[in-house]
Amino acid sequence: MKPDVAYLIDTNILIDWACALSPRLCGNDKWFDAKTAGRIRQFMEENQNPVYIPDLVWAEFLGVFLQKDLDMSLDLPKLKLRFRDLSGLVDQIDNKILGKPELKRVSVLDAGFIRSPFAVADELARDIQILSDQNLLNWLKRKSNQHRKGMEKILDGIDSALIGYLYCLAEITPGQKIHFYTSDRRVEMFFSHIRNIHQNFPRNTGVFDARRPMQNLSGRPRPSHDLTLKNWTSPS
Amino acid sequence: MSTPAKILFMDDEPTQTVVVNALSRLRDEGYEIDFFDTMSAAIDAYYQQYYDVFILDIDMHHRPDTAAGDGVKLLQRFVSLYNKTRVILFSGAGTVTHWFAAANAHCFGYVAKDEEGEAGSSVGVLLDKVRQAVELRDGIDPGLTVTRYPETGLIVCGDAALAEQAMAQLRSALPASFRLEHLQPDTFMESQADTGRYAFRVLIQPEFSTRQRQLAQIDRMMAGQPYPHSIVVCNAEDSNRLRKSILYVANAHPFRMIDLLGPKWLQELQQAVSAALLWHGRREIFEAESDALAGLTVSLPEGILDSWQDELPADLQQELEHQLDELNAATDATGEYSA
Repeated sequence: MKPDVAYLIDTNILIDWACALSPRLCGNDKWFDAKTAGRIRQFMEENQNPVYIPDLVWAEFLGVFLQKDLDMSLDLPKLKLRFRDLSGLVDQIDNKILGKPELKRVSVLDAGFIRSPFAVADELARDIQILSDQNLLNWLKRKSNQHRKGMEKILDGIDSALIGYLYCLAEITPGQKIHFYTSDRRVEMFFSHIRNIHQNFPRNTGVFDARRPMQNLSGRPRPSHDLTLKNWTSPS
Repeated sequence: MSTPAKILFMDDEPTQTVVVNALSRLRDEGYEIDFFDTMSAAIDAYYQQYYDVFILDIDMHHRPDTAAGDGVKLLQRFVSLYNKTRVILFSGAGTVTHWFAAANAHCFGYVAKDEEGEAGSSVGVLLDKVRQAVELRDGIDPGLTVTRYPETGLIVCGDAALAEQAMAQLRSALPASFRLEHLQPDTFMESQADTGRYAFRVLIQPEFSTRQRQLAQIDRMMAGQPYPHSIVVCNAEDSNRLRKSILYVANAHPFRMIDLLGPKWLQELQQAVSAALLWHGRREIFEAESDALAGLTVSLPEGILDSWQDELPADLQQELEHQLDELNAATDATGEYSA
């Protein structure tokens, strides 16, 4: 019998996982939260439910991790040293993924999708209705005024493509609830809205922010933090 | 133009003639050498400098320090932190246990300080190994394309009973669709190049000679890795008679060396085959110990998490939590989450 709950992860989950493996990696970053990173590491290494890692996520992770912000003031040996250590951390994650059957890579080529996730992404990214929820826009506005000088983003980068992967994966696994597991609050906030305005969006989908506390405001455990539950039924 | 190769050289006897000669010859060839006479100093240097090649002594008891273990342990640590690390063990004290362990940790070379080979003295052999490692640094890594493996494995063994034992063990562990082929060593040598045909290759032979045909057989067995990986099963006998041939095998980069005299060789073979399938077409990655990872000083540029993460003021955070719980509860109530 198929497990009932599965997750599809965002790129930021891999970054946090790497940061949990090597404490100094993001130690100086004001956005880094060691507690959350530790929880994400536990989620990835101990989860008994399937956790899907899209090829696109892996590619973005490698790009961000190894190829971005190379310090050109360093000499070649220092650049190589840095690359060696970061690459070694990528290897460690690669090794853990390969060694744990619950962690499954999803390739657009052989996942058996009925449609292309990029076609879904095309539709989502160009949909003006994404701006139709005034409450969400107010939330975003308040957030941006305080932290981003009035500028915000919704489905930027590969976000819409990952929602496309979620769509396609949920479509071919109707017996599983696929949750998008991310540290991106915007995606979490907008996800239900996106599902509502796209009525053909598979219903067996959800989203969870990895940084949210283990329990909801009613004190109940959030399902994304239960690593052993294979047949999750939503709390009533 | 490539830069001069940088080498970390660790030995606890810096005044030993063979060490002095090795250092002198390596410097004469233009390599940049950092020399360390303790393990802890070598470990610290690993995190501070990029090295193309590591030359490590095994027995470091002349300069005991806080770091536990020996050169083989250090090899395992360095390779686990970066699996393209090229380590050459240069030792006068190694035993057959070290030779097997070094091969299984994927050492690039194992040179006995008292060895004499085609390159002359052990220092000549060491220089040859260093040149090979540096050539690889400047060459093209062939391991870029990972392919699916064919469901056929090869056992090369001249002893029918041993071959049958191995095949029975592997049949019990592999999927029913998997085929196992058995070839006699002579037939194997006469067969066509076969690297693409197999998911793994196993050579079982209690002892090897150092005759040319025998060495050619080992080379043929190792050719084309990691498509597929090759496993060698032979007697781990600590004798001068077999030392040269065992070291030859260890230096040929087998995926695994398994002791045929060990009581669990069949189980070890099964595990090795599983690992060979897992890492088919790729260089194996070992899990690094947490203290080895803790030594890394590398950091990501500040703000790299900014694309995804940002702090919210307490009131907005509280509001977010409420909204999300309400959203989830509403969705649950409609039954949309039901399978």
